[in-house]
Amino acid sequence: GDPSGDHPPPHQEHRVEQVMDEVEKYIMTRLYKSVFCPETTDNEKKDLATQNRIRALHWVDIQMLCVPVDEEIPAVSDNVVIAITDIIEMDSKRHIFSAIKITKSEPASADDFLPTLIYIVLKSNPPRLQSNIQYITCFCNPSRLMNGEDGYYFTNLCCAVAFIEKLDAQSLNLDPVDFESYMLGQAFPRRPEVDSGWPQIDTAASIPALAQVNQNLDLLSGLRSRQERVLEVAQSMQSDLITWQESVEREVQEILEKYPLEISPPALSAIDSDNMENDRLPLTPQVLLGNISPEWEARGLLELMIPPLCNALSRHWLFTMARFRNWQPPRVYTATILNILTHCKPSRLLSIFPLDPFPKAFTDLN
Amino acid sequence: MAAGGGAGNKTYSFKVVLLGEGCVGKTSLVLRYCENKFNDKHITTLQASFLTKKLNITGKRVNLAIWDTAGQERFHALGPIYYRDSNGAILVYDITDEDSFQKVKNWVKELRKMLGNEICLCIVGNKVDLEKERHVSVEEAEGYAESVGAKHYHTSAKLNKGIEELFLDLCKRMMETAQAEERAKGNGASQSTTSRRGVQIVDDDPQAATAAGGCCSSA
Repeated sequence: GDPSGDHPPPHQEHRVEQVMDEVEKYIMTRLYKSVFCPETTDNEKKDLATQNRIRALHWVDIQMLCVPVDEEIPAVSDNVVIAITDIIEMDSKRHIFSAIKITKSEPASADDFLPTLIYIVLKSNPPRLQSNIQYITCFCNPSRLMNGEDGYYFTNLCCAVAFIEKLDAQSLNLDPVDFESYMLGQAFPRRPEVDSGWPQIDTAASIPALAQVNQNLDLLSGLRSRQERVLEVAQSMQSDLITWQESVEREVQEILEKYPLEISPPALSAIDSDNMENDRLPLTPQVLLGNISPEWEARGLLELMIPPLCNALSRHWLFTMARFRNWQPPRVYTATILNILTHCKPSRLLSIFPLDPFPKAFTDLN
Repeated sequence: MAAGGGAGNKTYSFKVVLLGEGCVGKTSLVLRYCENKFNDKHITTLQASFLTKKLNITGKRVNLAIWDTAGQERFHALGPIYYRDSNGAILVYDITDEDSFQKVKNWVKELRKMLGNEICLCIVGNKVDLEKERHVSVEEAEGYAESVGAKHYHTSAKLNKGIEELFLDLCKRMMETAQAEERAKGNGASQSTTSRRGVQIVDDDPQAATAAGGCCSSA
């Protein structure tokens, strides 16, 4: 027969391609869930293996691969960063080419492109790489997969992955022993001095990343010494507090002996009228301040009295109250304690006020 | 590609791989051919690793896809991934560099082993503008090419010499191969336009079919 009948005229070929694209898109969108990395394959295992492999190769740098890209040039490193991001969407070649072109100022050949692509794949460690490659290989129209520009770059990606999988000391021009120890994370490749002719430059100054690391280390050691100082001070403060509490208790005891509490009739009038100008709510306990000896207040003893008073409250006073059930504590006394308690921070109250003995004593007596 | 086929207004699509060591001028060669530029400061092309060229040879349209390959030794093992399903290979060496010619020999061996005789081989001695520094003799190179069923060409990307001829000749040879293949496939009538050497759907052989059947019947 006449085979020419099978072929559409050239001006229609493009249309045919378009239609095929659409059909392919439709079918594969529908099938994607069931055919992308189906459970019957070990693609997932391979994905993980590849990811781990790439992770283990984190130390591979631009010099080892002879990548013709100079990341010192901002425009280049920008392109590299974009390429690293984009390869995850399988669309990074333009930026790779830009990076190479800016560095070498001539069009990129495969000699340049492949190492750069390998470098980008290593740096980005794209997820599900093997599954994606398998998916494309299995389902892409073969005449396109292998022929056009897409095919070329897909082939390069396959090459990059194959290279990474097989990569050994020889392919990086490294000593096998070094390679092993880098892989095991026991060592890290030393940068060759850029200008060995010059007197040793401070490495921190010449390599920005190293400078950053050093700076961070400095900060960390500074933090550590500061923390040690804080700990020291906190300990001395603790002991100070203990002695202070004891001294206060003693002092309060003395004062209590010197000035025994004399209960005077409450100056109730204060609640409603006298303290209005103090801008305080009339019913808060502060209004009973008048019952606390002004002398105590003047000497700043009020605060100091809290711990012993709380002790008294829990141990002695409630104890007494419980024993003589018909005995009512004087209102003023209660108010005074309430008043003092409001001066006291809750956290301090909790630490001072021993909760334990109180209920025990109380129940014992019942 | 091999999809080539047919008479009339059929379009041939060929894949050609470019092999050769690092500095032999592969890129210059292909840039000269596709863009007619050499070391041009004004080259706008971003890349020279994949280039296409449309040709019209004796009334037939040919789409040429030229695949550059990484020539560094460390990538040697990746070759088969690149040249799979290619119709032609251009193996470039530098006439001033004996080593690069040895590399070409390695490639030839490998290609013949992997792809047999279906691939059209061109061995290209580039940089003939540096004739004075020649280190690979013409006789040796041409003799070798003949012995492995390849054609030998001399080119200079700098002087734009021999390149057009090289590609034209290669295209003609690939067309012949494609046509011969088609005839061999039988009468052209049953040809599948998309069948390719690399991806061929072969009917299950009867053995496999019966094995499957046995499996089902035993269930």
